[in-house]
Amino acid sequence: MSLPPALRASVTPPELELIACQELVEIIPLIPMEKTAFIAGAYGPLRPPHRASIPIWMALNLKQKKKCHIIAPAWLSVEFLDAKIKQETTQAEFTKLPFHFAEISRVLLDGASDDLQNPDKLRTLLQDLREARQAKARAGLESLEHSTLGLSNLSAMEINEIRPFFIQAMAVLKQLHVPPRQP
Amino acid sequence: MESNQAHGPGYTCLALAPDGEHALTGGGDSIVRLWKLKAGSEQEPAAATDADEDITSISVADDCWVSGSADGIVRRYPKDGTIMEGFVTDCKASGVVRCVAIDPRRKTLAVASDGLEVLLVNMDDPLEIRSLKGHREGVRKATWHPTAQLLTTCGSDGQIIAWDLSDEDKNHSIENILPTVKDSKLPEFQHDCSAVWHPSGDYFFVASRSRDIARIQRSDWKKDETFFDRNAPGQVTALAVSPNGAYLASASLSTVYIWSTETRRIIAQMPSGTATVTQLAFSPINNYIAWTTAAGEFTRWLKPIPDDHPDPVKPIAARGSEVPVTDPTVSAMFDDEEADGEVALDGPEIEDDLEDEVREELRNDALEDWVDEDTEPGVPGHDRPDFVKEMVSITKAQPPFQPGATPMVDRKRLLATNGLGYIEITAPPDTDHHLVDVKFFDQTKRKVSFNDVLKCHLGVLGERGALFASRSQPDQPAQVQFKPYVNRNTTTWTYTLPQGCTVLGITAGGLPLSSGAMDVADLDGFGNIVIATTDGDLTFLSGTGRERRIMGLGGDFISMVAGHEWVFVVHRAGSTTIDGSQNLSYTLINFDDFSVRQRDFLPIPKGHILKWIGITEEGAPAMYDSTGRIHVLTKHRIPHHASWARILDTNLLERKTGKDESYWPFAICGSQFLCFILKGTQTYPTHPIPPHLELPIQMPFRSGDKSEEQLERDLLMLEILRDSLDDQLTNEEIAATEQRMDRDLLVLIQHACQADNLPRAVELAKLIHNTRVLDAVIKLAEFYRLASLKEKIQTLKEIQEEGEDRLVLAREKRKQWTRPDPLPRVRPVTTDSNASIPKPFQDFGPPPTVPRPGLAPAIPARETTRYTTSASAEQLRSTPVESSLDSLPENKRKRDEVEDISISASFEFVAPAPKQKTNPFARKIGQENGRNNIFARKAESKMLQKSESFFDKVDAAEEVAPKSKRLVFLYLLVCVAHFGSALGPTASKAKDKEKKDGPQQITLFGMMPSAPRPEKKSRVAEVQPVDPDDVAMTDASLVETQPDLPEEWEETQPVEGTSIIEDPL
Repeated sequence: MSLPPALRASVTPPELELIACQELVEIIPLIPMEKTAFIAGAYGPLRPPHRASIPIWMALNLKQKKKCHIIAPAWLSVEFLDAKIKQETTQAEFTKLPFHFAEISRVLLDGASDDLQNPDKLRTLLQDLREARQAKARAGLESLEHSTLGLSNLSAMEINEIRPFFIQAMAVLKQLHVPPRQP
Repeated sequence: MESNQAHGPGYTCLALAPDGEHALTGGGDSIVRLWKLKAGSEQEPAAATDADEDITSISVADDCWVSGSADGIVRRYPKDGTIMEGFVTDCKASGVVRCVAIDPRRKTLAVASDGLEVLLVNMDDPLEIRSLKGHREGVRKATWHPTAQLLTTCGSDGQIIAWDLSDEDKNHSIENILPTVKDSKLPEFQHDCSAVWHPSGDYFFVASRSRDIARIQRSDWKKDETFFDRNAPGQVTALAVSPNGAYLASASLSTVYIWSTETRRIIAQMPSGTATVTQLAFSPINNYIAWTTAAGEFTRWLKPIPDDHPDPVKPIAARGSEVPVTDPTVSAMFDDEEADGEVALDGPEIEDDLEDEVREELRNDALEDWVDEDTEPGVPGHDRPDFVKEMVSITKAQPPFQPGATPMVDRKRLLATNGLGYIEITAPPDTDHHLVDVKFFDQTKRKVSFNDVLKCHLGVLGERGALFASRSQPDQPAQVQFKPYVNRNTTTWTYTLPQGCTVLGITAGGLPLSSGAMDVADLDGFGNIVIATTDGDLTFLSGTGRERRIMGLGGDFISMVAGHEWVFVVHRAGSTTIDGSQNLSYTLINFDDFSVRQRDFLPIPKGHILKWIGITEEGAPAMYDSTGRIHVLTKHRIPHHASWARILDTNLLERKTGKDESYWPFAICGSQFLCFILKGTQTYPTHPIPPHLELPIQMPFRSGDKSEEQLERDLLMLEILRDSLDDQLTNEEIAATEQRMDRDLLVLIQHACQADNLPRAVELAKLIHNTRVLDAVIKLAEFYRLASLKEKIQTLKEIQEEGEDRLVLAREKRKQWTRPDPLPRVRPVTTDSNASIPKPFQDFGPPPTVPRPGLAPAIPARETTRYTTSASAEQLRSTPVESSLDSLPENKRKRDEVEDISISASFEFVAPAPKQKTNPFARKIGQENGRNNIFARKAESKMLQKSESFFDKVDAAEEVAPKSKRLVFLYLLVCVAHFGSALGPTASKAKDKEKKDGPQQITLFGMMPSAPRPEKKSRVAEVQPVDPDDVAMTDASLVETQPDLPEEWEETQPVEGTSIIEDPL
C-alpha cells in the first residue's frame, strides 16, 4: 500500500473496521437459520421474530440481502450522542464511549441507515463529537511527555489517528530529555 | 331567536336554573333579573335589586341562587325568588367578586375575587370558609368539576389552577394557555375565560390565547386537542358545553358557533349582534342556548342543534357492541340513541352516594377505560343533579375486538398482529377498495398482498392461512374469506353469512407450517376456522370451508384466538357489573369433538378491560389487560384444572422506570414477551410499524429474589412443557431445562447452606430432578460441615432411588387426568369368584375343592344322604336339579363332575320347574329346601370325618391295609351295577348309591402306588364287553390303574369288601 512510511507502522482504518465488525449487534432476522459454525464462532439460531446477536459483518451481509433488520446499539441514538457531546464540551477529559464507536457507527450508517432513527442527525452528531475529541487531543499535545501518555477513554480510531505523530514526537522528546543525574 | 334588552351596557352575566325553567341575568345596572324561559320575549322579569354595584356573577343551585357583585358581597336568594335570604360572604377586603360557583354537590360555594385567594364557603354554614392560596394575580373565573372535588380557577395572569380539594398535593397549575388580561377596564377582561368541564369530567375546554379552544385532559393536564376553524376567527369570548357533552358552543366576533366535540367541526352558527357575547349557556333540558352580551342583551336561540344531529341533552348511546371500537363512525354511534336514552333515564332510585364513590374510585383507576365519555349524559355541575344518579351505573361494555388490531389512522391500520407477522391495510384516497398487505416476520414464508374490494374489517393471521371478514352491506351479505399460504389461488374460499348477520370475530388455528416438503404440509390440512357472529353463535369450519358445527354462545362475544387443538373464546356471560367489572369469562373448546376443556372467569380487576389475548409458543392461552399484567393459563390441557399464572407485570419492568411508555403485546415465545413500545398516551402502534421489542418475562414476585423467581418461572414453563408430553417420558427440551434448573438449585442450596438455613436447603433439595445431583448436594453439605443436612439428603436420595421413577409417575398422573372417568357400573357377580374368595370368618362352606378328580372319589361311599357332596352353598342350591337329573342314567357321568361348580350352577338356571314336579324324588327335596342348611351342616361335619378317614386311607395305602382291599370289592360291585344298568333303565335305585361312588373309587386306585396285577386286568377285560358306553371312561381308567394293585388283594377282597359296605350304613 502506498502509505507514507510513518503510517505503515500502524493499522489502516479499513483494518480497524474489520476488527470492529467482530463485535456483536442485535438483529431482527427475517429468515430462519439454524445455529451455524463460522471461523469466528457459532452464531444463531435465527428464529424470526426473535432477536439474535450476531457479528456486525454477518448482520451487514444479511442486511444487504434484506434478510434482517439491524437494531442500532443503544449508544447510536440522537439522545445519547447529544448528551455525550454536551459532556465532551463541558468536561476536560474524554467521555466514555465504546472503543470501536467510530468504526461501528460508520458501517451501520453506511450499510443500514434505514434501520436507524434519524441517520442524518446521527451523522452530524458523530462528526461534532469527533471534532470535539480531536480538538481535545490536539490540546493534549501541550502536555505531551517523553515517557507516558494517558489515553483513557480514547477510541481505537482516535488512537490510530494520533499514533504516528505522537510516537515520533515522543521519540524526539525522549532524545531531548535529560534524565536527572543521580547524585 | 328571542332577544331582550335586559340590562344596561356593561358586563352581563347569565345563569340557567337546573330545572331549565328560569334564567338569571345580572348586569351593570346592579340588578338581577329572573326570566321565565317559556314566556318568550314579551315578559316582565322579576328583579332583585339588593346589590350596590355591578352584578358580576350568578350561580344557581336546586334550592337557591347566589349572586356576586362588584361591591364584594355574595348574596343568597331562594329558588325562583328575588327576595334576598342573606349574605353568604363578604369579601370587600379583597375587592370585586369576579365569579361565584356552587359545586355539583350543592355544598360549597367558590368565590373568586380580585384578591389572590379563592374562598370556599360552606353553603349550609357560611361561616365555615376555606381559602385557597396560590394565584399570583386576581382570579377571574372558577368552575367545578362535574363529579370530583376539583375546582378550576383562572387567574388574570393566565394561570389556571386545578385544586384537588381532597388532596392538596394533586393541585396542578397550567400555564401558557389562557391570555393574560390584568386590566379589568379592557374589553378582553369581559371575555369568559372559565375552564368549561365536559360532563364526563375527563377534560375541560378553555378559550386559549392562540384564539382557538383548547381541550385539556384531566389525566395529565396537557392540551391534547384544539378546536379551530378558519371560518370562526377572533378571540373566543364565551364557551359552553351541552348537557350530554356532544356539543360545544363558542362565541367570537359577534357570532355564536356550535361545535361537535367528537368531530371538532362547526355544525351551526348564528350572529349574536354587534356586542361581545359575555356568557353562553346551554339549556339543561332543551335544545336551547342563551347568551348575554356586553350591551346588556339577553338572547335565546331555540333549536341551535340542527335536526339531523342528535339532541344535545339526551345521553349519547354507548357504542353499540356491533360497532367495533376500532372503527368509530359518528353515525353508527348514534343509531341506538333513542333506546339508550330511555334506558339511561331508568333507575333513579339507585343511591347516588355509593355510586359517586364508586365512580370516583374508578375514575382514578382507569380514566379513559371505565366510562366512555359518550355514554356520559349531562352531568353539568350547575345543571341537573338527577343525571348524576341515573347514569353512573353504566360501565361501558367492552366491545368485541380482534387481538392485534388497531384503528384506522392516516389511512392505515393493522387488522391483526401475532408471532407470525401482521396484516396491514391501506385505504388509498379516492378509491373504493383497500390494499391488504400480509407481512411475515419470517419472510421466507409467502407474502400475501391483494386489493380488497369488500373492505375487510376483520383479519387474522393463522398458521395455515390468512382469514378476512367483511361487513354486510345493503346489497351484500357479510363474507369470510380464507387465503391459505400455498401458491394456488384455487384453494381460496369464501363463506357467506346470511343477510343481516355480522361477523364479530374470526380466528384460524392450525399446526405450524413445517419447513418440510409441501406434500407433508398438505397432509396436515388447513386447520380450523371459527367465526363469531351476531346471531349468538360460534361457527366452526374446517380449513377447506366445510361447515362443521354452529355452536350457540351465550352472552356477548368479546374475542377469541385459536391454537391448533382448541379455540380460546372470551365472552361476557351477562352484563357488566355496576361496580365497573367487565365480567368476562373464557371457554376453551376443543376442535376435535367440540368439548369444553376449561371454562372460568378472566382475572381482570374492576374498572379494567381486556387488551389482548394470544397463545404462547408452548400453546398456553395468555391475556393482557389494561393494568399491564400478563397472565398465562396453566394446566389448560387437563379439563377443569386450569389456572391463571401472572407471569409479568409491565408496571414493574426495569426499563419502565422514569419513562412514560406502555406496551402493546402481540406474542409470547418461551420466556420472551414480544411487544411494541407505545410512547406517552399512545394506545396502539401506528404506521410505520416500529421494530418490536423483546422483553424477558419475569414473574412479579414480591420478595425480589431473582434466582428464586427464575426457578419458579422455570418450573412453570416445565409444567406447561410436560403437559404437552403425551406418552413419552421426557424430551430434549425438558431434559435440558431440568438440567439447568438442577444447576440453579445447587446454587440456591449453597446460598441456603451459607445462611445456615437447613430447612430451605432440604426444601430445595427435594426439587432436584436428577438423583445424581443429590451427590453434589451431599458434597456441599460436607463442605459446610453440616452433618445433619448430609444425613437428610442421603435419606432423601435413598427414598428417591427406592421410589418409582418420577417420570413414569408423572406420566401416570397425566394419563389419569386426561382419561375420562369410567362409568359407574356394577361389577357382574360371578359365582366362581364368590366361591373361590370367601370372606374370612363368613364362609361356612367346606374348603375349596382341589380340582383333582382322581382323588375326590376317595370319600367313602357309604353316605346316608346325597347331599353330602353338595355341601357348599352353590351345591346346595343345585341339589334339586341334580337330584332330578340323577334319575336319568346318563347323569351318572355328571355326578363325576359334581365338583365343577359352574356347571352345576348353570344347570340350576336352566332347570325347568315342572321337571321337578314330575320327579317325585326331586319334589321331596324341594319341600325340604328350608332345612337344607341343616343338611349342609351335617354334610359338612360328615365330610370332614370322611376326608380324614380318606387321608388315613391314603396313608395306609402303602401298608395294604384291609380297608383298601375292600375298595377293590367295591369296584367289583360297581361293575355289577353297570352291568345292571346296561340291562335296562329300570335298574334298581338301591344300587344307585353304590353306582355313584363306583368310578370315584376306581380313580382312587390311580393314586395308589402298587405292583401291577395282570389277573385283575384279565378280569376287567372280561367285564368290558358287557359294559355300556357310558362307563367306557371309567373302564379306561381302570385299565390304567389296575396294574397298580398289589397281588395279595385278590384273596382278602371278598371278606373285607362286604364288611365295609355294611359299615357306613
